Amino acid sequence: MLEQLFYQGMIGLSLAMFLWLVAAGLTLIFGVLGVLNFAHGSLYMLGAYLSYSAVRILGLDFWVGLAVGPLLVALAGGLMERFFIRRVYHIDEAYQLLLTFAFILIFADLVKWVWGPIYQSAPVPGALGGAIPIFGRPFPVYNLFVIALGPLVGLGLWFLLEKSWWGRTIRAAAADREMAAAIGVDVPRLFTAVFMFGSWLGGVGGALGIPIRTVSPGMAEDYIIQAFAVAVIGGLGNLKGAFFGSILIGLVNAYGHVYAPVFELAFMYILMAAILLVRPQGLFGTS
Amino acid sequence: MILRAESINTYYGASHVLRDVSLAVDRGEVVCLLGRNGVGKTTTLRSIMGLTPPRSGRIFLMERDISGLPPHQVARSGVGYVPDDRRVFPDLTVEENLELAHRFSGRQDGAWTLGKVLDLLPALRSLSPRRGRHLSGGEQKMLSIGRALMTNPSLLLLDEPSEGLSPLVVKGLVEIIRTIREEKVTILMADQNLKFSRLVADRAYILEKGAVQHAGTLDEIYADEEIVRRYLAI
Ligand SMILES: Nc1ncnc2c1ncn2[C@@H]1O[C@H](COP(=O)(O)OP(=O)(O)O)[C@@H](O)[C@H]1O
Ligand SMILES: [Mg+2]
Repeated sequence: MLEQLFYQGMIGLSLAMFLWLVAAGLTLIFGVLGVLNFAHGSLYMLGAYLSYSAVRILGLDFWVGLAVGPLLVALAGGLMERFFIRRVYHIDEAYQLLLTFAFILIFADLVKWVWGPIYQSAPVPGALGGAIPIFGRPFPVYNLFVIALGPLVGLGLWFLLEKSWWGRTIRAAAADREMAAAIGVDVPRLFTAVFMFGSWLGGVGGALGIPIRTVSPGMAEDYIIQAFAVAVIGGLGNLKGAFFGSILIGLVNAYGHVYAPVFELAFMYILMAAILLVRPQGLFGTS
Repeated sequence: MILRAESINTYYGASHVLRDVSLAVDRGEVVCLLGRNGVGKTTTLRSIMGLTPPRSGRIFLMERDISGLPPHQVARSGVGYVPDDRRVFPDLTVEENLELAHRFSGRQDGAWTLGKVLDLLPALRSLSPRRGRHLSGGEQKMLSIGRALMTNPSLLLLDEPSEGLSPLVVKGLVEIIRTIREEKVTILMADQNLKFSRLVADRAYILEKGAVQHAGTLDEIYADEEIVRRYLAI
């Protein structure tokens, strides 16, 4: 009984870390640029498809696929920001919503057109194959790898934003675009770079998932909804909140799946509603 | 001539705010924009900085046409900007605020360094590790001035420097502006306080309804009761 509780907790943590990678990009982009990118889940999907193709179709090594896919996603994000999103920074959020929603549809059709409806996974890379016993049951090594990677990415992000000059510039421009420009920061270029970086994070989330999750056209919608739940629970634009929000949602989903499969999806929304009732600004947000 | 604006017209959306404003500032001068609230002083400074670009007219910085340049290029060309509401970077420490400006100016070989700015604004020295958001209004004003100096500007735009400061702090500010001037930084400022302006500026342009109504030395304006009554008295 207790074993299953812990085991399911580990499953939840590995779910959480995928979610975290997606939510981190979404949160970073919202926190700095002020744009809620509804198409962020599509970038995650694109990362999965591109890395999948690199590995399964081009026959490249898994790690090469993991490097290449997200880079291409960053490029796609860069083009998206440079030619479309940039034009709606100053106007009503409803337009940002419409524009980024349009991208969901575009990416969905693009993926169906290029790849057709693939529902497959890529093989687990050799070094991370197999399982080791945890609480008496075999637990996939690859999931352990993902669980370890999530906090490392979080630490890296923290370091980048708090301790590097790039991060300081980003925080300055996020707080005051005009004054950042007035000391010589090329803010439009910086914002493109941040958008690319956030897209890259989403792409990494997608690419990392290919050995253990199915690559499918529906994955964008699945993920964007969960990532939004995470962002809202943690506090919009707050990376620490996104990290702990991901863990919360990951665990809720994992336990819901086993103990109350009928309500699996409902739990996430109930949790979100409950938290918003008590703390409308989210767990880590400032009102 | 370090700065020359030739009949600039600036709008906020449909509202026409600056009407054919022309002005010139010589190297080494301190020039003041005078006029009541809402006459267009801030908009003039923002127009020069490229933050609200004029729809027509030309702006020259050291004979180079900078009209239409984005603000970061205006900054890198040697214009420092101190807004009336200070706007220090709230998340960054005092030292980071200053260093960031130094890094992006592209003019690191100028005279202003962290040490020199802290010598000029000693109050900031002990506040070095404190974040911008935890400074008092007066401290933020000093940081905002220091930040602009860290870009090693040839021309410093100062919006309402004396606003909201206690008389004692204003006295210190007079000294600070005089020191900056001795370092060969040209200053164009906007202020409503004629007495303060007289202590630091040589010449002034008087604005009303977005147009230049009068130009002259501060001594001359101060002595002209008619002008003071019409354009400056509150
Ligand atoms: N962001 C804005 N949008 C619309 N109108 C503005 C804006 N900022 C200033 N104005 C208007 O432009 C005019 C000039 O303002 P401003 O340049 O701030 O004057 P001053 O600095 O001399 O007090 C005022 O009538 C003001 O109401
Ligand atoms: Mg003003």
